[in-house]
Amino acid sequence: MNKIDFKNSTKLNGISQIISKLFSTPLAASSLVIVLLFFLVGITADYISPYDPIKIDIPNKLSDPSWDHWLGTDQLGRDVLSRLIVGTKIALYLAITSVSIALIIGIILGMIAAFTNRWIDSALLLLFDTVRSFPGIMFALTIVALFGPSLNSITIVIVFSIFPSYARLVRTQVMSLRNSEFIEAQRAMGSSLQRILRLHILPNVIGPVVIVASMDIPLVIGVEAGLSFLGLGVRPPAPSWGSILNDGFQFIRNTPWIVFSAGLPLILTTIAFTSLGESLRDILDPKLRK
Amino acid sequence: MVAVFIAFFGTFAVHADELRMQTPADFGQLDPAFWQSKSDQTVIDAIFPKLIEFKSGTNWEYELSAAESIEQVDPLTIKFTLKKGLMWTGGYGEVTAEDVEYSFERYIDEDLAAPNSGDWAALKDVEVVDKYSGIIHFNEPFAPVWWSTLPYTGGAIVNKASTEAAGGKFTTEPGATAGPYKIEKWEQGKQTVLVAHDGWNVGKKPAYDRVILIPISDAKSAEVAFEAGQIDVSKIAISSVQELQANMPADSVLEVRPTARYTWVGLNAENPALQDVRVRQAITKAIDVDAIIEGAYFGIPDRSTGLIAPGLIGFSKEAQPARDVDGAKALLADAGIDSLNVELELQNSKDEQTAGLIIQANLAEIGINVQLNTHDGGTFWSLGDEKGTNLQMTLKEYASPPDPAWSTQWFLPGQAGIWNWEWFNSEEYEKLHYAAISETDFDKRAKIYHEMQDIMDASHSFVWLIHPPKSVIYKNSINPGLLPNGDYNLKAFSPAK
Repeated sequence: MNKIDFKNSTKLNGISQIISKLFSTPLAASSLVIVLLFFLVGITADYISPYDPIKIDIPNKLSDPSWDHWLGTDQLGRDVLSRLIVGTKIALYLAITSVSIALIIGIILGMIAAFTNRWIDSALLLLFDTVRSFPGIMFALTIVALFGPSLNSITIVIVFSIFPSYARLVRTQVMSLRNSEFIEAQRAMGSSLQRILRLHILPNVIGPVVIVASMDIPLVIGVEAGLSFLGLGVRPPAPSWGSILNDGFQFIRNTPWIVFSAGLPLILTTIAFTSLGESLRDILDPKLRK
Repeated sequence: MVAVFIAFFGTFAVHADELRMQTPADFGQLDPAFWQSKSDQTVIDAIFPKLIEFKSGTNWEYELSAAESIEQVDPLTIKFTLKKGLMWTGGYGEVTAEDVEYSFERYIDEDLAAPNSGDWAALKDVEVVDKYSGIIHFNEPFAPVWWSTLPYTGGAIVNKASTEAAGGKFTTEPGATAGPYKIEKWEQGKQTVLVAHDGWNVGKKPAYDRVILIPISDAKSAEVAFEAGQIDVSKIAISSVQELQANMPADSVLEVRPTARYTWVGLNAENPALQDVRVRQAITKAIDVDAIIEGAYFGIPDRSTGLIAPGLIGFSKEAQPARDVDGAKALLADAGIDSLNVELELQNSKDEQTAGLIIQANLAEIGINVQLNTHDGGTFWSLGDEKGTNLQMTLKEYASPPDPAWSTQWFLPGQAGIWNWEWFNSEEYEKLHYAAISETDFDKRAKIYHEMQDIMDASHSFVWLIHPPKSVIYKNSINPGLLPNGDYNLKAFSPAK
């Protein structure tokens, strides 16, 4: 993972400046549009979904795309577009919640590791490395076997998979800041540790972690889709991109649009988030800027 | 997924003298008195001899196999004589009447407590006349013996000496076998390699020297493996039949055969949530069986009328009642239930998952929230042990030979928690079961089975769905050795001329 020098990124201090930079390259611009669309669809899913995504209509099963059903229907006659839209909401919910929880845990533990004594630091580093060393798939299968397939199980899997990276990053950032002059000045002025952390350290370390976290969103979406495809994710009848793919896989010969309908947004969103994250990093890190 | 790996890495090369077949799972139990799954049965039938066996084809008929002659002398007596020269593997000599005696009598050995003891429920003993001849004695007439015992897996003969040496039973490593094939290699979860047994001197030698059984549980993956040329014969999901018929892979044949198997939703009457018969009745009324048949099974099978399939003695033509949502709601209201959470256990095949989704939607209409718990085959069949009376609803499919006694035995009170996951408990049913197996008059026996099915229906613990047909796809370079219900008869497979 590249270390990002955010201290030198203050020249790009306005969101409008960042957005304008993003729109200056077609790849970044299109990625931003797709990501915004993903958020928009996810947030408004319940309002824009044309049909109830779990309503079964057997006589209409596996219908071709039409004006009534833009992406056709699945083997139970459910509207694929509606399922895709509500599936976006689930993917968004999972991405936001699991990454946010991991971020909070990572920031707290990272700051504790950096600001406490050597023994606690070593113990926490051992914890981070131990958790990171779990094979991802095995860990996911274990959690699902223990708690059953559900959104909560996936959240646990994702949080435990990604929080050590955030914690290590925060720890490194904090360690580089803790002896800096402005922190020393705060100490000399009698500021409490809590105040220093909250008002002076946190704002300086949050930026790089958030960028790294944004680049983990496609990972989260992929994990959720993968587990749901295997029947280990979101419980039916709730729609998920992975379960829609699984439904379509069975009928790919005669009704390939189900697989394409779920596969295309999955691919586009994954690429868009990754590409957007890289673009942001390039913009905010002057060392990488050409 | 397995098929995809096979296709990508090409681990296996296809040989003309070998046959590669998909099985839904790895075998787990090769002792005929303890077998559980179709995969167990396929291997058991290939490696152990029987006195008589079912013929391949489309009509249920049996023929002599290890027996040179066999005759029902009277309702309580069957005489048999073995063919000479049928040899056990491992230097255990010839198959003898003593092996037959040991094989059959162990079913009624209370110490062994064989779960399949019903196969020989009326057996008194087997008298050994000489090395090759014996007499089977029954306590009372035993009607199913010719259709669901002797030619079925309960008729498999095991080696006395090696089994006794193993402590009276075995699991996956029989001490000796004498069927047309023997196990050359078993790589758990990957493949079972069977090779022709030199000591099979009592009938036609198998046409294929090697048969490789590859466990692929996912029907779609099996299709992919078949199309990639990595397997020669595969079972196909019912829901794939129409798609395949519209786009048949080159040089392939697809056969769909009716079976006596039965698929149903079972409701556990011992579970607190389902103890009230009104709740069970509401569920049976609310489930839309026609929608399940159309949605999950593409309208291919007919709706089942009960436990016993068409063509079998005791089949009832009386249709199950139509869906009645209002009646279901009224029953729940009468039971004082506004909403209820129940769990439905099912296997992870696409057909069953789709059926589960329809059931979930159906029951949501009457205020019952169904949580679908999907399992792979191995986990699913251990649920009876694991969950006991905590089991609530289950979607199951049981096999059946062409005699209903084999099927009715699983719902006896003594089978509760073993195969009877409904904890269905009827003394009358039990009495009728034993009356039926000792009744040799066809009409009287049919009448008893009608009564038994009525008792089952009155319990409201069973929602009969279908008698699923078996669809098998194979290369047209093969003459398939299929029993009338589509089950594999391995030694009958041969190259097409």
